[in-house]
Amino acid sequence: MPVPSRGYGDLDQVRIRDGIDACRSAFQELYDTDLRRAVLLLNDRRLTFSTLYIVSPRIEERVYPYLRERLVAAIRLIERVRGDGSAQGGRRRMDQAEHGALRWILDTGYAQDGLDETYEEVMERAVSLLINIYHDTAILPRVADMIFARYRKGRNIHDLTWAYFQSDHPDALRLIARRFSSDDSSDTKLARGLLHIDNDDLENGEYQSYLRWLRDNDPYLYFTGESLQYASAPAFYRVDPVRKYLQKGTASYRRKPVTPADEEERGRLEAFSELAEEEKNILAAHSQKVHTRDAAAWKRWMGRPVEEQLRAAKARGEGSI
Amino acid sequence: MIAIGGQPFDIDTLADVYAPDSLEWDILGRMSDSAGTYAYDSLSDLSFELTLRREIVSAARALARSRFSFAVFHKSRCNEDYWDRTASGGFDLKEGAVPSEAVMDIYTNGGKYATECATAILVVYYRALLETYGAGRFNALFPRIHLMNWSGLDPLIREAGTPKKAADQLPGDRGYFRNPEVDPETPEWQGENVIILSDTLYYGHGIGVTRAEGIIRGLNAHRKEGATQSAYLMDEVGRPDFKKLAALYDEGAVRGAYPEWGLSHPRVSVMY
Repeated sequence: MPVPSRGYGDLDQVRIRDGIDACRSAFQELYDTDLRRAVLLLNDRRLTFSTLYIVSPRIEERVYPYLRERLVAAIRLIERVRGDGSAQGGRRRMDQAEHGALRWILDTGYAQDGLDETYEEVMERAVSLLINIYHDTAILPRVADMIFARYRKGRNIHDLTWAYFQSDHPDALRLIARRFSSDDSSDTKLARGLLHIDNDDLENGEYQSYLRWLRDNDPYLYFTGESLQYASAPAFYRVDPVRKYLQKGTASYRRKPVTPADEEERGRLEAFSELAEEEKNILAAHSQKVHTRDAAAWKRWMGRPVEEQLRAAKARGEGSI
Repeated sequence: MIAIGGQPFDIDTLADVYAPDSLEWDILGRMSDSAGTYAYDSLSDLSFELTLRREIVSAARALARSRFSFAVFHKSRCNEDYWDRTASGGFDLKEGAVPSEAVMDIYTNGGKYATECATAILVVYYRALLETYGAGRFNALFPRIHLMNWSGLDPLIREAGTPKKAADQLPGDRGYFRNPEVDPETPEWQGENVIILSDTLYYGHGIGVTRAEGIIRGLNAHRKEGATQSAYLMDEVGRPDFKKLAALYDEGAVRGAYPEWGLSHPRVSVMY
């Protein structure tokens, strides 16, 4: 058993030293005999979410006014996950206090992820709220760690993964790509699956190779909203071949249709939209190459009919997007 | 249109096989009128698809009538006489359990089971395959069953986990209603997997058999505060590879795996 650190509060020290049941019993006894002291221990700034979670079933609503705001927000979240009907009135407030409480849950609770299934669900909801409501992308590295840790243990990653990709942030991709070089084969398997990379796509130096791909395609990248509820191998993100073909990137990572600049571009877009998906990808990749090499040459190339562009791209053996 | 062996196929050829008010005839009509092409190597491949689609629809309706309930994976439950609940909330066929009996138990003891919508669609597929192949062949083809949305799909039905754009949405297809502004606290409402039952009705686990408006209403009730975007039916559908499954059926027929059906089974009646 790890040696308790001086950085932990008294209740955490009991949990770490003596275990969950001992911590729960000790708190219950204190709660029944000396409520004031029990509240003091809960309000200790060093208290972790893990310990609060363990003792929370004993804490009655009449005590909430004496607790730190973040503790009450955390207890309310636990109650909602447990499906306690009395918690329905305690719907979340979208404010800085709740944001702080959710960060506290994640920061002090993630190390114990897997304590039990309700705990996992609470962590998922905290992550989901932080990303979807507070757009807190600073948590992505921690969430990525949780996803991979759960996967190694065969635990559920579905809602955590969904929330993670709801961030619509390219860091979500970079953080996963880092696992390409992991010594643990389950990490690399999951990383490839999440990023939709076939075994043969990237071989040597695949992390650097992926980063190069990401840099080149970033302006055309969008997140799809697909999830494991929808498909076996969801494509969480894609490259928009229309934007790449026209070399019209966007700062947004949500798909936005291109508005043609003039009639000429409208015609080109119409011809492009008639192509098969594979041909669109070939043409988009070729367009990017020509543009990178020589912008003036690209302008001349774009003036040619789409069929001619495609023939040139195929002749150069252009591959996938 | 329908093409068999590269030639356009006139569905009137089958007017004596399928009743005008049957689901199969309805599907045939839609395929025939479609702007897309439904291509088959043989008539028996087409008839197999019609049979399996009919069984998918029947299995979905039967599941809607059972007491099988909805729960998120963390709170899923199953009858442990037949299934082992996994650490991630899925169900694995128990060692020694008979696959066909385990699948049927979900229907007969539905109250002992609860899971999410995608897994329910898998249950529908397995029941439909059981009805189509018969228990003997089904048990031989699916000795191991893993039920957990689209993860770890059996290779024989892998394609159902990859929705694609299709010319039509036909009865027996898996559709998906997406809820783009779901309440982040209820991610289970991010979408609803459905079995398309007819041109107006859908089966979605936890919602039941209803029209598209009913599913959309259910999803929209679980959106985040201030949401403006409605849930909607995506234009992609999930389908098992009917041809692959038909080939397995034919393989079974060669081996005499369907003695209980004889010539009365619709598939067989078309084949011979």
